[in-house]
Amino acid sequence: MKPIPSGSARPGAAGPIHDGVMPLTAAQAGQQVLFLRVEGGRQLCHRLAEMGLTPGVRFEVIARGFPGPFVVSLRGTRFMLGRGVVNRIYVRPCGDAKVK
Amino acid sequence: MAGPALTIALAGNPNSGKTTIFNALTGSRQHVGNYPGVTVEKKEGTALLDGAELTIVDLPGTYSLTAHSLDEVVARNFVIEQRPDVVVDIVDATNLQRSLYLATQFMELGVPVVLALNMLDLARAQGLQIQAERLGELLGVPVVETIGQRGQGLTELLRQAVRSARGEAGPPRPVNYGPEVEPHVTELAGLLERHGVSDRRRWFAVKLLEDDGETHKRLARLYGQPTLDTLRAKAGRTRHHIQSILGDPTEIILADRRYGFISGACTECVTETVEARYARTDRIDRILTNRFLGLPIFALLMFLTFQLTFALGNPMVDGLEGGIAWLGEQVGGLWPEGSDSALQSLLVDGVIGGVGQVLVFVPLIALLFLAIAFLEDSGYMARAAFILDHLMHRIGLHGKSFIPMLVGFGCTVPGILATRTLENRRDRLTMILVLPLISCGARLPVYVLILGAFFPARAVLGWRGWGVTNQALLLLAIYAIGVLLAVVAARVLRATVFRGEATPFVMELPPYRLPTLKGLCVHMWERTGEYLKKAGTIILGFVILFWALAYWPQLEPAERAAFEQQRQVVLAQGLAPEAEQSALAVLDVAEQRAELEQSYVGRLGRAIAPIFRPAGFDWRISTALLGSFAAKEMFVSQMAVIYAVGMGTGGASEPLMAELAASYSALTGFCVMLFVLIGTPCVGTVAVTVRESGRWYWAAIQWLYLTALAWLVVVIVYQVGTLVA
Repeated sequence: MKPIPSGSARPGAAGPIHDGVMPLTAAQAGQQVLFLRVEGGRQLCHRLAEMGLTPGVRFEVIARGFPGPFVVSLRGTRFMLGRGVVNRIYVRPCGDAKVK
Repeated sequence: MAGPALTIALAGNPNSGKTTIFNALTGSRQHVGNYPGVTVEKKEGTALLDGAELTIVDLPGTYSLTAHSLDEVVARNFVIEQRPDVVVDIVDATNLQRSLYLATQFMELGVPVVLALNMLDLARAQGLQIQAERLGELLGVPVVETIGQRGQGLTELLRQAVRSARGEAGPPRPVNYGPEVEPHVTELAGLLERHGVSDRRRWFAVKLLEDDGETHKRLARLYGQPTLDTLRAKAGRTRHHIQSILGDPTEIILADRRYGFISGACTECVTETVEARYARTDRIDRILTNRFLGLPIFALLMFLTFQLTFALGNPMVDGLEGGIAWLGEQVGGLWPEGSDSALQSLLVDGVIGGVGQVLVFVPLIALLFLAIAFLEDSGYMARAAFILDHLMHRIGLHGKSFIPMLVGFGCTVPGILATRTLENRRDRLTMILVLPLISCGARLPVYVLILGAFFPARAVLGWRGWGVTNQALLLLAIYAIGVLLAVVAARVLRATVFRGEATPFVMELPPYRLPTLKGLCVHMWERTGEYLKKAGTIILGFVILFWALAYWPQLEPAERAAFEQQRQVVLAQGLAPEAEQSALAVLDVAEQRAELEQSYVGRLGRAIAPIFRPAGFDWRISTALLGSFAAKEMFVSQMAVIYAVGMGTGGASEPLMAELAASYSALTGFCVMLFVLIGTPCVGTVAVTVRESGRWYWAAIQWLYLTALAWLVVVIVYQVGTLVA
């Protein structure tokens, strides 16, 4: 069994999944993505989960920082994620389904 | 109604409208204190319902009840330790999922919970239909619909709170964590029971599974370390087990399940009729946070903020100055002409003159806070943090740190209070230590005095009557130097004392809202009140101390007689009335100066003067700088006392400007501005730094490094300036 570092992708998460895990930094504005994991300490992972960024949740990138924080739409709320966080978040692009 | 007064704890997310509801419920029957042992402000008030009093405690606004921030710890400790009869959780109807996350945790605590579904009008306008009753059934807690800004639903809210407090609503239904987790919660709760834990077992069990440090401390304190070790060992095994099955750390699973529960409930009772919840906000954001337009718009808004503050504020300041001068004359007139009463001097020169000097700037500060309240309540402040994040990162801080800085332009004290929103202690302390470098409103009168004395206004850049004066440019330079030094100091601190990577920056962006007048006034008043409190307590105390130090010891009778004799000589000369008056005035000034030199303040000023000699300051400036430690603006009134001009009035600054221009060079004037900008944080700042950092030595370090820095800068500027000239 592999040691589990922090959040890891949950198999079988709902929704049409396209190929390829990518860092959130690679996402375009307006793109829907599926949250997979964040590479960070326990506290950061927990904080993000508490604001609703839990494995498998779908969210939309509203704006990309140039350079600067990202704005995402998650569970009906807008969040600003600083670059330090964005760099560590891994997502998978997903289809055109609406955010829930 | 009979029985003891019930205690209602008011909880909710920041921006949920909690403060509005608290104010509407308690009106003026509220007071502010501190939660025991911590520096988080505790607002408490009483509400009246059908003739009975209810105690209402405003918990800090939080998103969760973990221990990530001090506010969260305070909120949950209050519920656990003070045992309020009921928790009223204010839920933002426009942001239901996020708001309910906090509610699920209160429900877990086993305390009766009532949800106030607030801002329903906004939710409807955004196309959300919420079936409140159905939501209440799903969560197992009563839900009351409210519109806090209009005071709607508040009586019903209190009624329901009282019913729930009396146990008429049944216990809340906590989140079910699912077949993989739920049996372990039950098992741990059983273990807790065997170890004598009498209540809140489910809460403790869940927190143990989250490996929550605060809970460990509490259990160790209440039931002993061995018990905790047993519990932790069991919880640790379970955590490992859950992670191996579900693939994620247990606390992540728990958060996920809570959101799952909430999302399920929302699907059942919320219908979105319009797909345009954020449409307006997004349209505005497309412009305001545009990558090219964002910074220029921010700069423009800041310019407007300050422009508006001064354009509207300056006439009010003038009016107040007149009023205070009038008051001084009236009070002074209570004594017969030429009397030499200590009480008269204390009231007129000390209290009215000194505190008046501080009070005249209240309009400027209040207006700045009003503008800041507008930026905050409208939702723009969060965007400004977004826009500035890149810049702030370069100094090792993140976008959020900019808010205390902006408040600091008004007054450092509320600026330091505003650092509470920074979760990381390193970030917070860095900010507290550099904040005094942000030039506050109280330093402005000093600049105005110096600029008026040494740099007569003339247009330097202009076109057809529109132009910039040299005074405006110098003022801008001083503010810029402050910001620059703050940036450098922050970088140095982050690279040395507070080393460590910048904390990840996560912040909610609220939708844009048109602020209400009432909300703006409340927010403005909260911060202005801090400033007034400072004026009424610390500054008043120091003003009196300073007055006493300047009043005693008095001149010897012989010296006094000498001045009197000279006066008689003048009178005996039979001069023309005008010449006689001016000759007497010269004697008066000479006598007052002699008095001051003789006084303790004069002696103290002389004692420290050698330290400031390399900076070109004489004993008079040194003495006045002593005063600026009580409050920066006191430099002006101290100078007025030293030059014995405008005694007893709030702002007779023109004679003082003339005196200064005659005594010092422009370079010295500029050095005074620099020293007042950088050095000796005022008493209020020191006090609030001790309180907010929790350690007196942070205040000592802050005071010493800033004063040393100020001395160094001023000496360099003076010496180089003298060489060049």
